[in-house]
Amino acid sequence: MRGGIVGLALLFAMTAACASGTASTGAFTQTARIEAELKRGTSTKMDVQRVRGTPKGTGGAILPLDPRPREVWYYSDISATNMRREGQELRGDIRVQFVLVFFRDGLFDGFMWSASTTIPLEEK
Amino acid sequence: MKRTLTAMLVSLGPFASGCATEQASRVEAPYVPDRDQTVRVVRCEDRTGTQTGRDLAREATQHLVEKLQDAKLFQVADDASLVLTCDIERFEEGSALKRWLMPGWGATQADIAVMAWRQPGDQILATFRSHAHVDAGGLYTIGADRYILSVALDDIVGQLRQWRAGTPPQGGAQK
Repeated sequence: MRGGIVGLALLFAMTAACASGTASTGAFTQTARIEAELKRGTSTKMDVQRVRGTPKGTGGAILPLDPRPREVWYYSDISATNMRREGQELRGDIRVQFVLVFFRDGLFDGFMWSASTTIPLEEK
Repeated sequence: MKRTLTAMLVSLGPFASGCATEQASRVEAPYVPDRDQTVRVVRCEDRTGTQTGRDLAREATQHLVEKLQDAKLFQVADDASLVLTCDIERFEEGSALKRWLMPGWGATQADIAVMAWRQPGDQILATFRSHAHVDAGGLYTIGADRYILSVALDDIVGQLRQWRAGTPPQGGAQK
């Protein structure tokens, strides 16, 4: 009986070691809601928080051709999936999404979104 | 009696389970004692995308309100100009069996962010974050998923207490 339990534990441990790894900073937030629910010049910071959540960072920017300062909220989502060792290489798929939300005079003034496609990660 | 027992278990759980938290806060404006005695708590948003069969937003909101009241930091009122918004950014149930077999595997985790606002005017006063996790431990860590939100919110309330006291934030920034 004791041998069976130990065997089961070892099996679980070996399965765990072989399982493909996943790591992320949390769920990927859909940016479509920004366009659907926020209005430029009208929506407030609290509206943006309600749609997009708490920003990971905040700051300011002056954009080219428009010297008026803007406040910027920064969001990012990162995930690594299907992490696996192949010989001497560690391989996996990385997905990254960045969103910058701009405010002028405290109101939503647009956003910039950038996302990666699935990029294979190689680490020797 | 049942509530007292549950509260004791929740309080003791983190100590018995190797639960850890990391915090980060950013203070934009100091606490104003004369003005900010009451607070309005907006229902937490569950942004985890996980299907647990639980209403994490309701649980977290309830924990936050109870902890604020227990800590006697603020009175909770619907018409307060100091407003707290709350996001559950990550929740992973994890598994005590997996942790028992291999530390780090099957970690239970929760990330919560709380923003303090002054309304009207949409002024952000401070942002508080906590990452609570149980990475290792034996089968005695069963149930970590039940108290991990509470642990993260304990940490947040601790940060709110520091902000209220004017203490510089740990692991964060102050303007």
